[in-house]
Amino acid sequence: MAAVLSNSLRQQSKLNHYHLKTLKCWLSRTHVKCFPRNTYPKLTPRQVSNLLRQNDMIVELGEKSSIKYFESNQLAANHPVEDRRAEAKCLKTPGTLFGVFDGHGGVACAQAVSERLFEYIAVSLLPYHVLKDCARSIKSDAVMFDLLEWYRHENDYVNTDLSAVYRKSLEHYIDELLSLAEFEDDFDMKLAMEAAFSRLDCDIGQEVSHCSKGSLNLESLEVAFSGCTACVAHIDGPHLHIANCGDSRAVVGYLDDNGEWATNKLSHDHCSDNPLEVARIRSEHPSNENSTVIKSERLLGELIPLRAFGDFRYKWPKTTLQGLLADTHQSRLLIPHHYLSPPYLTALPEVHYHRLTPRDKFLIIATDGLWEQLDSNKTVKLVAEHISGKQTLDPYMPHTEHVKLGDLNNRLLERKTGLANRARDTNVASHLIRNALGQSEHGIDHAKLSMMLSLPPEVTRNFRDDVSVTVIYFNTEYLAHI
Amino acid sequence: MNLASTLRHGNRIHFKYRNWQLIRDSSTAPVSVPNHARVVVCGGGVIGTSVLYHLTKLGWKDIVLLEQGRLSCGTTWHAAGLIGQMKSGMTETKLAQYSRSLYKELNELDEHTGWKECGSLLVARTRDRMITFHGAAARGKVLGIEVHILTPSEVKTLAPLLRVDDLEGGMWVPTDGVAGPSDIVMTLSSLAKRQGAQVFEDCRVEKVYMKDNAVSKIQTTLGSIECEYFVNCAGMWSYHLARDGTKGKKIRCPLHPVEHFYVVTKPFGIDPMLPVIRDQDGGIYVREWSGGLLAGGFDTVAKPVFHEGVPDDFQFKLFPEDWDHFQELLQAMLHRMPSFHDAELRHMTNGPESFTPDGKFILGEVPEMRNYFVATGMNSHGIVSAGGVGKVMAELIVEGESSVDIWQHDVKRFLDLHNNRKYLKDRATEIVGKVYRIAYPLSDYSTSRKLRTSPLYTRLKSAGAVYSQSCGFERPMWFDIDSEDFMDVDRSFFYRTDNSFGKPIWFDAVREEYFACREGVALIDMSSFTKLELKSASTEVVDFLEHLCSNGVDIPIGHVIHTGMQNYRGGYECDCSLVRLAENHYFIIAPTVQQTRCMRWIRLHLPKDGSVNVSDVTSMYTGINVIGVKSRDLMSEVTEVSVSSADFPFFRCKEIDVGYATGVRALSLSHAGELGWVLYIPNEYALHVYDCLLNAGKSYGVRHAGYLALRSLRVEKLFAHWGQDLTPTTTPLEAGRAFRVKFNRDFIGKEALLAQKENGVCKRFVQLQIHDHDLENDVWPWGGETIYRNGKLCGMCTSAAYGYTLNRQCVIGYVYDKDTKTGNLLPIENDFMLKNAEFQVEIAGKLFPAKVFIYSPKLVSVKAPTSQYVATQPWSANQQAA
Repeated sequence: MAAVLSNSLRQQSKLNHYHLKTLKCWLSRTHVKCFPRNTYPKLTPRQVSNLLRQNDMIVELGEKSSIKYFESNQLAANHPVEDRRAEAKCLKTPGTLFGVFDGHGGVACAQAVSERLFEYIAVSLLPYHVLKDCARSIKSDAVMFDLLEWYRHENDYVNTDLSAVYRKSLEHYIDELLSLAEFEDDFDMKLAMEAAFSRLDCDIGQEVSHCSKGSLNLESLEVAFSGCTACVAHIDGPHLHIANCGDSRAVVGYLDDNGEWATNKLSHDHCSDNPLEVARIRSEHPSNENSTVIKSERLLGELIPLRAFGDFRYKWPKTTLQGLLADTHQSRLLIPHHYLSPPYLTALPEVHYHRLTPRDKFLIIATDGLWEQLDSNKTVKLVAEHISGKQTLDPYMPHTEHVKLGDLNNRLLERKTGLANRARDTNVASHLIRNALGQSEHGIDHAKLSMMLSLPPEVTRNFRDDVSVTVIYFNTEYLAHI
Repeated sequence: MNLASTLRHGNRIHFKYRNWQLIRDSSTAPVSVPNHARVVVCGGGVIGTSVLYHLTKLGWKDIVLLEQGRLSCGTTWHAAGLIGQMKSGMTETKLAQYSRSLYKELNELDEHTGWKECGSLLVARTRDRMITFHGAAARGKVLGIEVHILTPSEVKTLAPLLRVDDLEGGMWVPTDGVAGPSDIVMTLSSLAKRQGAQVFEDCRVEKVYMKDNAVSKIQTTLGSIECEYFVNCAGMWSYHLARDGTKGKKIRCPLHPVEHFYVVTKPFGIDPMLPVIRDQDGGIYVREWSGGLLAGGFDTVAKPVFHEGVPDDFQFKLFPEDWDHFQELLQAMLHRMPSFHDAELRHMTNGPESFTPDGKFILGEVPEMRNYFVATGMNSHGIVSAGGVGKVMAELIVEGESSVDIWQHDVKRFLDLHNNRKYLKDRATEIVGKVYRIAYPLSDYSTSRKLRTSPLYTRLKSAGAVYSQSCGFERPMWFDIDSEDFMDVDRSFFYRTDNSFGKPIWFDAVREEYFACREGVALIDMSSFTKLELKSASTEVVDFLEHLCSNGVDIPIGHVIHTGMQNYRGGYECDCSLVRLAENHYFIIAPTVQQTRCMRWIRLHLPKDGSVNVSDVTSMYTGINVIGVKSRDLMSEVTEVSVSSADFPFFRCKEIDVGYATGVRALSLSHAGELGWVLYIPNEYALHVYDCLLNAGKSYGVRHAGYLALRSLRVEKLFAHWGQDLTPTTTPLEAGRAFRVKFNRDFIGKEALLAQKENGVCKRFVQLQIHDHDLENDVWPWGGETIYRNGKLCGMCTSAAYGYTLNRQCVIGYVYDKDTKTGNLLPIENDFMLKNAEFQVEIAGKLFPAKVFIYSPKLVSVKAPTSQYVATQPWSANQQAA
């Protein structure tokens, strides 16, 4: 257990000031005309592309949906990668779920949340009678009641060690929902999402002591003592809900009145840059903690995201922690300084609703690894360019019998910008990651990309973070006809 | 009319990728080829059939044409059939002129060629384009082709559908027209068949065999044919047929196919006699087609295809349409013809078209073996040139020499480097767009560069050298020492023309180099020259060279002479410097472009007993020209050999040490008539010798100079260069170099020269110094200008340069006296130039008075006049003058 905890402590600190400084220094060097002494690209352009694309995926969804298709990719900086992503279709209710999860202090929490959160959401959305069926089948131990159809990449890992424990927790949740549902019949999407998030986080904490007949469950402990952020989109026809907890972000790209690309940010980053969030936390604690509760832009001087799953070091009472840690030498280290009025951290998401219009073209959800390098507007612009480039991948053919050459030329002129924008990556998520890592004053710089992708494992994290990106393309025609 | 043209003229649908085999006449009985033929022509396109036709016209009957598919199936069938006579060069124009008259005559004899004399109308968007029109008009005058220069409103009258408000003017060639490519092929092949030639379709050439280094047998899919001559007219297939289809040899035939486009509209009331319109500044051409228009062009960056090889069955096939690529041209068409907007598309044609690395054709006998001829690489000018090319090829085969001088298109201009696939592919992207682009003076390519470089390349580059290439060899043209950005790779690497026909950007820089070459001392990297060594056990090599060279070669050891190698008509096959290193050992310096040609000429005549050995040592030596009146003093500082005028006079060669380097061949000549030494240095010593010269030269103010300074020096002194002023159709007598011919012995071309001596020459090489030329505002002469004597056309310039000592534009070229009635050239004496003769030179339509010189003019203001060599006199006369 000591090992689990010390590991979580070691990995706790995110990019600190020293690292930022090194990064800036390094990057500024790459901008001078000559390479720094003894620096040469270690990777070939093909190797770079292979590394960038190894986790990319594209999934087409049926025509009778507000989603045409989505493209997703993930690039690791940590070894192993601490980001998780998940995409699934709800089978018992209309709607599709997309999520990105940025883990820290280990991968356990992100792994658990990425596997479990959608189930919690799915059952939270179920009408009473379906919920009843669900409860029956899950208890009968017969065929699992299928809540979700997952879209997984072949490299995605599914952990089955704790499936029995997880299933038991879900069962309890379903039972409770059933008992509540008998009294309430007003469905509220926002409440349902919040309930799912909170309940899952609560279960993660409970499982540490409850599941293994008195003794502590080490694996559950690892989940509870690591942490992860979550940014989840639920799309049902024109209804888009974003539930965000932590510093990942969801952004919609749309065409404004002038036909220009514009950005609609659908989540708030829960980090110290967000004054509302800082104010919220300060208001939840006595005023004498004002200077310690957020210190060095971190929660209690340690944690960057100000909301997260897991991380029970910032949630449980001091006594609980001490009880857990009595037998370790590091107990003092594990309890944060100025730990006076827990809980300091919550997994409660902020839920945004947006009704999609035919002008909304795509939704980007990504972990902070992307947003550290690219701002929202730039990202929307990159996706927009990629779309126009992609439109020209098929050669143009005049189809009708009576084509006037003037008209034909106008069509070709429209394609010109697209041709200029033709990107190296057909997958837009790969395109974004390539831009995030390789951008320079004069376009994408191979030397910089190569450097970013060939860093020794022990320093990679100093230069870049795990990145997960999912871009969901909306079906304009569908949205226009509802 | 054959099936292909029926399809094209009829209600045409897309038959892209439809296999022709399916709609073939299946009644063709199985045939086999004859066992023997005198000539086997491979390729049933417009070139192959024209060669066949012209061979029969010269009376040869035992000839066979083999076509792997059907006649015209490769590129010919989808050609637009434009017959425009005014091409960029004299040779191309002559070939086109003949083709036009052939197609016209045949058509009048009811031998269908689809000839329609609708004329052609070229429009100019810029003043520079108008300058090129004036050049074309001048060539038209020389060749008797009617050419009119037009104002924009005259353009409008001839073709009302054109937008003219942005035009500078136009050019009208009334005798131009269009023809039917497939019709020409069918007519020429059936005429040839009537004369006894045989044509076999569905017969592919598999292997060419040779015996005693000459063509002996052709193996085909229908049996093998013993033959004397083989002609490769396989179009886009010719590269691989030459390289891989010859037993035991790899024949060079450098070309690369690209995608080539045009669109055809539905009829919209276009006059059938609408002239062919060319808006070259927009890269486009347009002709009438079944009441609509056919419009195509030359894309800026072309798309090479079939890089790995051309499929055998790419017959009557097209590529997928690429509208995005075509948009550039479509835009230009819409711009020029507003009514094109509402015209409806019928179809786009995207077919293969082959281009060579320099945009010239590939003609003649290959250097690798005897009796293997090629006629291919037409650079989209196949139909318009086919008549002339067929005639010239037939003459080369039957008579050994052609009536039109084709040396610029001769396959012997290539080296192995030109056959490199990557080189060809990259160059092909550029060469297509160049077809219509204005050919500015001294312009060069930007693709496939930096291939052959001397060991001094990087040093000279950092000293500001601006490079241009010849045969892939980068040569410094001038040194840009004032620009801040000369270290910029692109800036100094490529020869940057300032895209002007007037005063060039390098004018002042070259003046300084020029005077360093005359009054100071300068270094010129001349490594690109062809260098050969000839040896024999005893003095066989002397006899051999005596036979080959028109000047006497039995000179003392250590002496150097200039000599021509004449062909049987007395023309210059090669012009070179010849050094006798030992009794049995010669060193030959020949022009860069002669590397293959000169070697082949020598090999062709080598004694059969193998007693003379020739080797190409071009790549072993770096050449530095140490030139200028102070060169003697500089040389004396770097070598211990005495370089005094007594010990080391003009036209000697000694192997000397320079610094620590040994084995440096020093030739006391400068190729520009100045005092100087050209040092041929083993490559590994080149940098050392260069540094020695630079260090020692500091106190003499040594400078770098480039080829432009050299050009000015030589044109000012009436020095001739092979390839520009001396060609296989000019003789030493015409060139004023009779003193370099020793008639007291036998040599190739002697009879022809004696006859010319007897009958008198009909043209003379002269220099004209142009008066009243405004350096800043007038168009400069760049070569190719017409010369008038007392108002009558009398010749053309071959080279031009500004003479910095004379402070005048100087041109050199040939003048002649043409009988206006018969069109024959009359013998001329010196009086023709010197007595009662007022000369004028026409530059871009403007006449300038000019003073003629038949000998090198005396140049004053040089501090050491004794160090000058006069090219138009024997050396002895030079010495006496001193």
